[in-house]
Amino acid sequence: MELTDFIQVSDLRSLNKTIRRLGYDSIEGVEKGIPVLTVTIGRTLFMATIHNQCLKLMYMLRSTHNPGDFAFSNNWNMHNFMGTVIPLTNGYAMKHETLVSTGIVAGNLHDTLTNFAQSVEKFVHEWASLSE
Amino acid sequence: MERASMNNSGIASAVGFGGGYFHVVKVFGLTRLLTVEEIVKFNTETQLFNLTPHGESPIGILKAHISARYGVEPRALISLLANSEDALAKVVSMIGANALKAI
Repeated sequence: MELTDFIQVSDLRSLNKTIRRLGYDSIEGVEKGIPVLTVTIGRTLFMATIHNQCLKLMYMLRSTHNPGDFAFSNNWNMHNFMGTVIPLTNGYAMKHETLVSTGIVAGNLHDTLTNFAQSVEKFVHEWASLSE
Repeated sequence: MERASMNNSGIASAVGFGGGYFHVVKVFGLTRLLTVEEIVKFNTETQLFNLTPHGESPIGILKAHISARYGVEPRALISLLANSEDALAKVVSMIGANALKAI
């Protein structure tokens, strides 16, 4: 597949196929009754779903000791392009959505996945330095 | 009604391209601070756009960043802009039009 190819990823199966053709590992599964893909890029694992015409990427950082910090989340959301952080009672959720209902250019999908994985890694690193 | 209120409230909108991303940003002045619940609820429920509070003379920032090194398809761009209007309407209905003020 060329990075300039315009592709349709209308359902999870075609998304799975496309992610694999882009060279990343992707496994179909179910999370709380919803079909999801688990995407692996380097050491980072995150979930991908197709929801309301969007490709939704989601990473959960669960901390057994501390609830997610609101100020930390706001600061992240202000200064970063990839991944909206939401504080939870037991950690954080980080999500990013991209419209795919009209199709997407393969290179942009590749960048979205790679940039999200990098963003997750950066977030975990910042969270770890804060928790030390 | 809410859209009319928005038009009178001096909301600044910007679209741009930089760093491989297409950016859509809306900035609005507020008469009060946004609450934790409002921000968490909005960011949990809303697709594409996130809401961030800023400053003591408070403003709200609504933004989306889309990977676009390989171009943006016109229909996708129009959908994104339509979504930005919907996201703003959602903020206004959540916080009340009287919580907005001109920047």
